[in-house]
Amino acid sequence: LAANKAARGNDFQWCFSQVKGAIDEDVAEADIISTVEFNYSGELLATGDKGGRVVIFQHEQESKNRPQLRGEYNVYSTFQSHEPEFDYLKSLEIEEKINKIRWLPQQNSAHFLLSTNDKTIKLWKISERDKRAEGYNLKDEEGRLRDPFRISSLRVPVLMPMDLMVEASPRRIFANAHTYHINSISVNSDHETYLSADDLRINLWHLEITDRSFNIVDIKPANMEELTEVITAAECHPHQCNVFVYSSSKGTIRLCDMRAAALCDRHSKFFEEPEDPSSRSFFSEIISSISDVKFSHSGRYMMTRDYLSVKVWDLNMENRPVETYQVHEYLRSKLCSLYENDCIFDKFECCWNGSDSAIMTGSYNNFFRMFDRNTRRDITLEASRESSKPRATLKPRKVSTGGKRKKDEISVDSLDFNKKILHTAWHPKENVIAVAATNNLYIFQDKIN
Amino acid sequence: MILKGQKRKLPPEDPDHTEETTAELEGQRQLVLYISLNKYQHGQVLAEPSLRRSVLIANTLRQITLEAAMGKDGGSPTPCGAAAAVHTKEDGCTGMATPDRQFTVTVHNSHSAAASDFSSPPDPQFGVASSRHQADFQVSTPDVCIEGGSEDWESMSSDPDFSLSAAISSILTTLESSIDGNHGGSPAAPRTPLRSLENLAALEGDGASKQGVRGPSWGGWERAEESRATDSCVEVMRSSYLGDLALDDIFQDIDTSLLERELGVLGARGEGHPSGEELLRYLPSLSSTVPSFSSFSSSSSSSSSSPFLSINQNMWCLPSFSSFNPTTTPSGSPFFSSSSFPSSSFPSPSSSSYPGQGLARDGLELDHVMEVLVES
Repeated sequence: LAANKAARGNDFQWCFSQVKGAIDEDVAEADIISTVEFNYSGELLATGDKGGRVVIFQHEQESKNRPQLRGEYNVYSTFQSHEPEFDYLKSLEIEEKINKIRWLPQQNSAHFLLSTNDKTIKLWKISERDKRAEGYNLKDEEGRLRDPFRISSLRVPVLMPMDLMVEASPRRIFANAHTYHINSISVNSDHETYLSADDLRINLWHLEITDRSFNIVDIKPANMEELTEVITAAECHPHQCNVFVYSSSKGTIRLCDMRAAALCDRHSKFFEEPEDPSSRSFFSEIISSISDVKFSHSGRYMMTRDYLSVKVWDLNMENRPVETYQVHEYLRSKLCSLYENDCIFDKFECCWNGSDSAIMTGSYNNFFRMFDRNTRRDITLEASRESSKPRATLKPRKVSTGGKRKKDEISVDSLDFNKKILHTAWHPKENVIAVAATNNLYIFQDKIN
Repeated sequence: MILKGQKRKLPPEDPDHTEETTAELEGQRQLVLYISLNKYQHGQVLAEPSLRRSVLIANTLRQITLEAAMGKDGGSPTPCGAAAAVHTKEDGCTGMATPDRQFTVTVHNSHSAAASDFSSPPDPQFGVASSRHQADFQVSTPDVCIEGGSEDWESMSSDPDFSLSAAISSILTTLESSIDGNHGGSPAAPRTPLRSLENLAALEGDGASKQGVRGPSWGGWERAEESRATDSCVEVMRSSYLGDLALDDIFQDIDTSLLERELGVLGARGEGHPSGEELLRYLPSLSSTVPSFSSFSSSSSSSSSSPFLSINQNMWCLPSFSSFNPTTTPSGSPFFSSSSFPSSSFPSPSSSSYPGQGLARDGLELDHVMEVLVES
């Protein structure tokens, strides 16, 4: 309901809510956040970092005396999901960095999520324990098991309340199915299967079965010298469990129907925007590489993020997107430098709001951008400690492109390309957003409830 | 001789706009070409090497080659155009402006700008000052210009057009075979396990630690499971340029400058790599010119062993050879042997065509043992 109100055309008024993470200038690499994801209800917010850890925040109940202030997100559970591995056979180190987290829809009191690094996907169960069984007479005072013959009475333990403990336990480990680096996982709408994609292949898994998976897409050429395109992202359709899409490094998206064939190498739909010859450069292919693809909640549209823009596609129209939003067009003249310093390879993500009326994506200098699809208005905001006063409204930012720089504008040359916002998430029901800025997680809320 | 419209410092004042644009375009093409080469080189030692990145760089290189080839078919090639896009120190680079020389000049320039990016600790994000990214691509390279190189360039005689296009083609072939080698055989384009060889390199004492880092990844890829990839790589290597005498000429030409650079900057190894080496690494004709190393090393004024040693340390970075198995073919092994030189005693280069095959294995086994020890 809150999301619908905002969608009616009111501008969002984003204000700072919280920031999580260390304040130090010295950032430990392991603390760099690598993925952010709300669960289906928005009650839980999970982050993964380069150190292989998962931190889950839970939305606290709103306080009764200040209902306009939404509750805060506080740490609910922290666990080490992946450890660095060493493949002795190939003398290769496998990073523990969490590439993606995806929640499963909640079916009972426990929460389940999938987390993945480059090679291995794990299903984690996060459950609460607030009772403990006490009164066992099976062990002696030192904790050693007593000899059964010495136990003379049957004592039934009693459940006693205890402090809430949140436990995370790995329930499934899906390993050894990917030769290349996993870039995406996506839970299917049947809630039984999910897909995982690496640079060249996509596998379909059943959540209960860990020792095998179906390969449904394989674009590896027989001769690796002919390799010119890799898979960059993949996602299941939110409602049709037979449909999924995957994007490529050449700026194309393929929609596949798993009913058509066991191996979905032949797409059902092929989405590609014809190149504008006037803007062709040496870097055209690199900047067309799609870094993220997301279906809208409705399932009618999908959104792709390439280096300079976000495009919204109607699934019924393959030859061009229906909407294109420029994220940081001022970088187009800097592509050579960005190529040199590798920034051109940064993979930005994008996300929809709950009602599909707005989209959000990150940029450099800790800026992130939001586009309202109805009003066509866009805004640039910054995730920084300076603007992090409680409930302070975020001031729109502007990058000056011309010669004259107005006050409060920042020039392109002053942008800090080390401060990149690659991962953002939007609460599925409310106007609450989570923005990962290197090692800090910012949570912003819309003031207009 | 500097061609018209190719002033390197000031914006071109040539009233003929078309020629200027073409020159700039050619210049940028050259620039992107060499940045791409540098990137691919360093991609092997990045903390998070990625197939996507490698493929995109390779595609960009391929596109540049195609455009350059098409351009050459039409009119007169202007490989010197690189200089137009790059601001260099003029006095050091004028005079003997043969195309190959400017070829290398540009490499120097583009690389020095990129040097700090790649020589910083694992995550380049934090190793690079933001000021670097601010300006348009302006390379400040006064220190890196060829030192005392002008007289050496007189010895260059090869046809510039042929050398450039041939070099580009060979590089592309090398890249393609290395993609195959890296990811066909050993798919997890690896983060090199730094620890073990850092220890090893520390024992050696000099700034070889940077090169030392690359050792384990070689060893790992050598043990890759897919021999199919290995075979195809070897096939490519064998078919390309080993018998190409012209490339040897080019190689020798560039080699001279490389050696000069090496002598000059051996002490500054830690910060980055003189970019002449970058080019050197990509020329696959090294196997046939291993003997030529010795000839150059003996002809250079300084110690004959150290340039060779340092050159071979840099040859570790050659990505295409990662898939070579020293036991398969002789043509592959010299590169492994070269790679293992720093970790074993330095052999006489003139001893045989494939000097250190056994040494290669020993060196790699040693690396592996070190890795296992450290990991345990």
